[in-house]
Amino acid sequence: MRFKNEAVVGAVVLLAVILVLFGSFWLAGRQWGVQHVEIVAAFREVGELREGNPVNYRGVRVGQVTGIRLGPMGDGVFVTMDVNEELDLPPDVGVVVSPVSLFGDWQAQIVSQSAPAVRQLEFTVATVPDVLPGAALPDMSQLTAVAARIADQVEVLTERVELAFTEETAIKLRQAVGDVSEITAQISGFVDQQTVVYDQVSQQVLVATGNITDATASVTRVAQDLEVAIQAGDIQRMMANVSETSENLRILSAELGEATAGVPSLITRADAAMISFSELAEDVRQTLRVLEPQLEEIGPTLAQARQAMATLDETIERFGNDEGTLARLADDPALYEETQAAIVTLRRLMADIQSEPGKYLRNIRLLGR
Amino acid sequence: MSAQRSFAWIGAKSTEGFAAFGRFSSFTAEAGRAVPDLKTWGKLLFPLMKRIGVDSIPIALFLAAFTGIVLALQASYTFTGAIPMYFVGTLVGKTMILELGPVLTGLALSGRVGANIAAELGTMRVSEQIDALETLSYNPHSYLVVPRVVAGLLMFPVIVVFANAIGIVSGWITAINLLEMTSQEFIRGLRLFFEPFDITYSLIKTGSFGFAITLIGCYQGFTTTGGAQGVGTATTRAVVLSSMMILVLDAFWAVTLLQ
Amino acid sequence: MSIELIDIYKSFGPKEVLKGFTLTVPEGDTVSLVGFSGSGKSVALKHVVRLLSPDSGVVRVDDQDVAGLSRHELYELRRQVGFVFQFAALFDSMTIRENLSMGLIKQGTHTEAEIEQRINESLNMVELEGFEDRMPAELSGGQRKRAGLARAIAFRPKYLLYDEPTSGLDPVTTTVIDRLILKMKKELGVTSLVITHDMKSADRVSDRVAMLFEGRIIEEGTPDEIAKSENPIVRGFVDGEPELVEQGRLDQ
Ligand SMILES: Nc1ncnc2c1ncn2[C@@H]1O[C@H](COP(=O)(O)OP(=O)(O)OP(=O)(O)O)[C@@H](O)[C@H]1O
Ligand SMILES: [Mg+2]
Repeated sequence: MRFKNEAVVGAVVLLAVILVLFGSFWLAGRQWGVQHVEIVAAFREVGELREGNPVNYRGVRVGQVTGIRLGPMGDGVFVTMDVNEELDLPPDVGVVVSPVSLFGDWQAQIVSQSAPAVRQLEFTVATVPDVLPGAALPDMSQLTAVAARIADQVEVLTERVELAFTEETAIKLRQAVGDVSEITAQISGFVDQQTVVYDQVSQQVLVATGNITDATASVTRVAQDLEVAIQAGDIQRMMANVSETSENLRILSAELGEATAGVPSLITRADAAMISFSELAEDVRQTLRVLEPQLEEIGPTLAQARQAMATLDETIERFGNDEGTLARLADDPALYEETQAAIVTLRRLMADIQSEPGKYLRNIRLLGR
Repeated sequence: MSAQRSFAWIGAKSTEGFAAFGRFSSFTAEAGRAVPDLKTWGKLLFPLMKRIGVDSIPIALFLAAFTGIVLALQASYTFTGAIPMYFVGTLVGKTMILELGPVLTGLALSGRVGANIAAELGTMRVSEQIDALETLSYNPHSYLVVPRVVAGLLMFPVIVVFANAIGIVSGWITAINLLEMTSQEFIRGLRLFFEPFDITYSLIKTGSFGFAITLIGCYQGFTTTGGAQGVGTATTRAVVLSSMMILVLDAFWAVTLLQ
Repeated sequence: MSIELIDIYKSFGPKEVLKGFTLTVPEGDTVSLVGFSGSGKSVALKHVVRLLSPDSGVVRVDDQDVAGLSRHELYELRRQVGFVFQFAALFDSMTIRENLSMGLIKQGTHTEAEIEQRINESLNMVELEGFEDRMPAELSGGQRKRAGLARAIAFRPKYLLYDEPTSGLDPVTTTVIDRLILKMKKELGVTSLVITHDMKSADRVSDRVAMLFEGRIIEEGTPDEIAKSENPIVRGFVDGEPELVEQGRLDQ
């Protein structure tokens, strides 16, 4: 009887131990029967990379990250990886770590440093021998966080503007708007980079981006027209162009809707984004109409006003100019939110200018300084 | 006057609470001192490991299987659109291993094991069997408490290993059959954030649950007074207290090990 | 090698059970403790092996102060004391054989064959031969009581404490148990303290009889002396006359 108990308990415990060992081994994604070798690469920083993250080579999983530690003598971070022994590494081998999705899962990729996708990256070379050079792509979430911060700044500034639109706030506002443009550029550049590196854009989005390229051409045209109009100082032409702008944007929205018909969620997002753009353009048009009667009186400030508008347009252009950005914008809720926030803020400013043009006209020349 | 009375009530209650805690502590210390007495409890261990551990596996598996199904379905329900479906695997795996496997099993077994121990030892107490053990110069702590607590400590993790495995497998099957996911997708999600420490954490936590449930059951059994009704009270109290203790320990481990 | 309980006070909450209880069982003697139901006889008996500790007073067994014993020494002492519980207190998850073997195993000096032989012997003495493989739940109250007695004598202790070994038994079995108590005393020189209600039994087995009343011993003597006692409470108890007891209580 007692012996039977012991046998049953023993069998169950043994089974559990096997299950734990087998389970952790399997869940950690190890492979049986393949000899592994260890490679080490140096990085300036590794973002969210963790032990157990996959190591890929030409898109094929070949191992996993087994250790992350700070390198000796300020060499940055040393990442140890277990990879299949039979791997044939390229001569100018390097390792790139990057996020796989927006949700914090990262990967390490073994690449040739001269590959077009990674050529512009700055690889960290360790002083220790047998350590491969490595580079990390920035984390998308960090960029969007910066964008969010700037959007906040713009909002704070807008509030201040209502209280006291002084020379200082005008300058700051201009800076903030500049920052928005810059971060937008940064995001779009980054997204393109990622798109190339991952080669993971889904088939549907690829088709959509083709159409979007056409659509964005219109945006570029619109922006240029606006720019020309403002520079020429021709109010009548400017007004005409503004109308055309909003018309074009509307067409663009329609085109985009068509282009992304196969991707329902993409449609709604992109549509919403484009409607926002059209509304913004509409606002600009209305604002200018309000200002029209007074424009002649404030001739000297006209040039500065043009410049201010140009800055705004640049923002719009940055968004529209780049197919990667738009695709990403449509697919990335966070980035989309940030963009929306920035647009809303700018629109609020426009609405305010419309309601109390006098207050702004007095100070608007400051914007150009 | 009534304020005075309520202060007195609070005072009495807290004194009572401290005294109860003191008694529990000295009971635990007594049990601790009995641990080296391997000669007495060693041979009692296997039958108890079977009774407390092996016999509890079916109920644990039943719970885990349904939990796995629900987790998979709820994950996909929550993830509409924006989040890739392979995260269903992540959610099922992580939640099962870190939280629901240990805690649900713990709660179920506080009823099955905790109540059983409290009722058994409570009956032994009121029918003077524990006194009889003493007169035969057995230390009832070595003879009754230690083997039960050790069996709980050892077998609860074993039970939860199976529960976790079944939970994940049932989530997996659900994902394939009801969510139109592929095995590859599910496994990808499962492996995404997996760390071997997850399993260690799960096992440590469950071990502590086993320890708490059996110890509280033994304590309630040992301090039973007053016949069949007393045994009933002790049993209820054992289940309530060990369920509470499971949740407290759950939070404790999360604070100490997951930060 | 005697049992001494000296000036024991014991209360449960507000209820004072023992109030200056003093009783000595000389080596090799059998003393019967009689008294009314609920007077504290079982409580007094449990003090001997420290199942209960006195609020004040001294318990000496084997010339050792029981309160001062370390855990190890206490278990050493208990190994020499057999305790027969009023309600048997058999381990109900074990067979009768396993119940009886518990004390023997603990002594650690017996082979399996010896243990088996001792179990048979002990069951024979209480007329329960053939009950080895029964569970306690399958026994009648009287059978259980005798099994409890067998468990206490199985390991041949130097001291035996009987809590009502014969209550609830038929007259013939009662005589058998009484003879058993005498036999233990004669053959093994056991020192015994017997709680009983049955004056005839007390008369048969004991060298001395003590009567517990309201927390203390009110009368002690040979069975004959007790039978002839002038104390109205003792008279009332022996003859079963409540009126006498009531009168005695008022006289006090
Ligand atoms: N653990 C306890 N807690 C509270 N009161 C107790 C406890 N044990 C005994 N008592 C009380 O002490 C008194 C004496 O009990 P005890 O069992 O010694 O009586 P007794 O003389 O053995 O009676 P009986 O002949 O009926 O067995 C009783 O009134 C009982 O209520
Ligand atoms: Mg009694």
